[in-house]
Amino acid sequence: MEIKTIVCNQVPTTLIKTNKFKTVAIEIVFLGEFTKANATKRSLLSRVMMASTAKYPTKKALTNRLFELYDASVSFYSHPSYRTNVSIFTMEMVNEKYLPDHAALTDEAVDFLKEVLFHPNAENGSWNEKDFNEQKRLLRESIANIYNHKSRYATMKMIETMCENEITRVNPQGCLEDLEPITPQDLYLTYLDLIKNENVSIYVVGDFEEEAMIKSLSRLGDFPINPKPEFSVQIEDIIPGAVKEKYEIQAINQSKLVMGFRSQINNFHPLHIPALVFNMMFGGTFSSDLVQVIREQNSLCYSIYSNLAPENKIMTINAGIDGENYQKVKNLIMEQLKRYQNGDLDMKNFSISKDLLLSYLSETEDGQESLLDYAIRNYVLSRDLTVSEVMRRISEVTIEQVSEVAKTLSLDTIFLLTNEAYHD
Amino acid sequence: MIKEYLRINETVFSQTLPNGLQVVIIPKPGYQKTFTILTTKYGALHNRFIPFGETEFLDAPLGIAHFLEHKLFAMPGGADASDRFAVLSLESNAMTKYTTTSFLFEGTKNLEAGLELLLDFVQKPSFTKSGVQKEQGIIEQELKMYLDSPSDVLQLGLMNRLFSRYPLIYDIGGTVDSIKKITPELFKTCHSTFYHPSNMILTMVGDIKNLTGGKSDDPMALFEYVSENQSHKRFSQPEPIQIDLNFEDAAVKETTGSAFMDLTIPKSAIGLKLPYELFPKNESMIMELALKILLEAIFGPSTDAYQEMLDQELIQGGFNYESYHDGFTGFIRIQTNTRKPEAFISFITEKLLSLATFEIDEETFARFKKAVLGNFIKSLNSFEFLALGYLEYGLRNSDIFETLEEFDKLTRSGLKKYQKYFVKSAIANFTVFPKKSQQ
Repeated sequence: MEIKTIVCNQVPTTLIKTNKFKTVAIEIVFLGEFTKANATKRSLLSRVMMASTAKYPTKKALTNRLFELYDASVSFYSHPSYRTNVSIFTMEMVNEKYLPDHAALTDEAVDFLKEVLFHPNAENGSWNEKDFNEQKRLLRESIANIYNHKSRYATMKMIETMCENEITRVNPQGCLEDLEPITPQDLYLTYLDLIKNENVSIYVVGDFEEEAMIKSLSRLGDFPINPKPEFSVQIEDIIPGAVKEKYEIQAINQSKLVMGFRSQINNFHPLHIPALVFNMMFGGTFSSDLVQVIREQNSLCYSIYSNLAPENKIMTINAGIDGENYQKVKNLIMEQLKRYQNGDLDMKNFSISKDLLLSYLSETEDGQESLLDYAIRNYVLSRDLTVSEVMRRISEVTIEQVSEVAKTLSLDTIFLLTNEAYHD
Repeated sequence: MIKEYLRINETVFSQTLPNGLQVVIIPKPGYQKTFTILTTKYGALHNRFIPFGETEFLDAPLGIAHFLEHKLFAMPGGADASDRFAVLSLESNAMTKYTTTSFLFEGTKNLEAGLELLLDFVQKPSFTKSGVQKEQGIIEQELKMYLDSPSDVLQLGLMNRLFSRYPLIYDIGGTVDSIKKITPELFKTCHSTFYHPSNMILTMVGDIKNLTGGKSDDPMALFEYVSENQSHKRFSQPEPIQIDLNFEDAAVKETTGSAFMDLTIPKSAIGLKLPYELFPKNESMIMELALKILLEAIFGPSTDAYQEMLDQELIQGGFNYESYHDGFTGFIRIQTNTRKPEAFISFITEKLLSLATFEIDEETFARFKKAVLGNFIKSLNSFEFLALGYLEYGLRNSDIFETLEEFDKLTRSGLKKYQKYFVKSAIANFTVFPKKSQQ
């Protein structure tokens, strides 16, 4: 594998050359600010931009063109890293050498990406009305549909309670109250803001000839040069007061318990790497204490896991349980955390967790997505941390540091989605 | 046996050991990661069978294959196989489907030890009464999780309209009641019947050097390693397994049905029952690809019909279609979230029926073939797809890579034989309606 960072079309471009994959992926990344005011607009924009373009004005035309390119796929996915909005356009195509006629695909695929990026289905400063209304309706339904995924719904409710006045509360998918007032003109302005004002970088991974790829990419034309937003992680600590406990009753069979904790460790904190080890040990794997104690020893659940979001300094725990066991499960979870805070840790679990993390990381180069994610993450966080450096730091983590991580955690909010029968 | 598939640059080595275990190796030089999976041709379909060494059919409790999958992780002496894998820095998992049960591990090192552990924990079980009870609580929670999932409720509802007794009508995990009837003795019966090596396949994907712990880059060394492990275990002579799959005729059981859940929007599915059919070599996969083309042509995103569904607000997201065939029978399913379930159902039903006489034009056909081919090649990036694709299509008498080349030869007239499936008597639908909470 060969990684090279150069400047293409005026912007930083990372070329990752490897023969491991049967496809070539090109990603164009836009960084801007993530705010409550623009989250829903961005969410809608990502839908309309994928629905049609000027040259391919219907879903039918667009889909058929992609079929002609051997099911090349184009996607636009946006997610926040704290207050930075990361928008990623991905073009994935089969590597020409696996096609029957070795059809030259790259230039055509790049042209398609260019069409999607720069020739939207809009006229006179306003998005095509029919497409706009259609996608608005579908987004409205999609937002409402969260209610039908009980685990996701419970997690969203917990975050809304815990982070009421913080950016973390804002759902990147958008919300109904912000969706309704958006007009086709507003959306076009949102589009212009993305294309003109955001920071752009390019990533390519696959088996390609460097010169030919640079030439193909040049078909996209020059991107504007804009500064990079520098608020991708939360700086301030939030120390919770009394624990907020909320519940909601629905006609369901299994209760969903979500617990939210504040941590003091973001991606730049000296304990960031030990925090990864902590999460693996605590609730990140089958050998973790949460799974072993709540599931294996007490048969109280099928699924339980913890998740760290260092960008927002938060840890969540999710479990599917019987509502009547709520207190019992909560107490067992808190007892486990207490153990960690007291330094009462299992050396076997510690070494298993470190080794598993090292094993995952050593696979980074084996996946197109993991390679791209890692490179983009480094760029978003303005750091130049190699996989091998992360691995070195993981192997140096001490068990005392894991306990230190646990000490920064404090319970903030509990949300229980349950049914009538189990609520006291 | 060595098979080279030049066009997509893959090679497959396979060998059947003296005890009947089939071993498949797909080398991926230069990779760190590996994927190893041990599969028995035993799943939720195989609930009525003659136990090994007996003469009468047994109706096992629903969900026993899945429960057995969970239970095998409990090793003699109280150890847990997942833990043992974790100690080796390997991640293990298992899955029960209708046709198979598989145990797998992934990782980058200690792979020989992992392979030995995999073969040992699956082939040398220990079933205790207390262990069975403990696992019941966990599986009960797993089943309750599915009961709250609208897609799972929709799927099971639809299957119960299409089929009257074929075991696709049951949840793979069984029910909260059925799993309570399962005993250690029943586990022993199922294990000795279905986990004989001659009923199993071991598949490995990865760099041979890595898989052999740095000892060799010759796949033969891996075959020998497995062979050595197997030579220390005693198995009875293989016997053909008699299974009653409860096959039924081609007509659906009921044409429509519904359920209620705590939802915001109805979810509808239309199903078409595929008739019982044993396909010649590679044809079951060709059929699947041909159905993909036909369904895309009639209401996929590349058609006017799809736009019509959007314009009439018949679909609200979550629209998808797929076909499933287990080597004997199967179904096609089209589903969506919709505020107009009746209109959606009649729109799709009419389109399905029109497929019986549909003629695709040459240009569209050529374009769809490109898309199907590209889509397939794209999925080959995944080790899991490589391993499971080779395995599962193999169980249906299709060689995944060979078929991909044969697919080139598919013509428009070749679609005709699959168009005969689209008849009214094979179609049913199911809808899950919202039942609002008390709150």
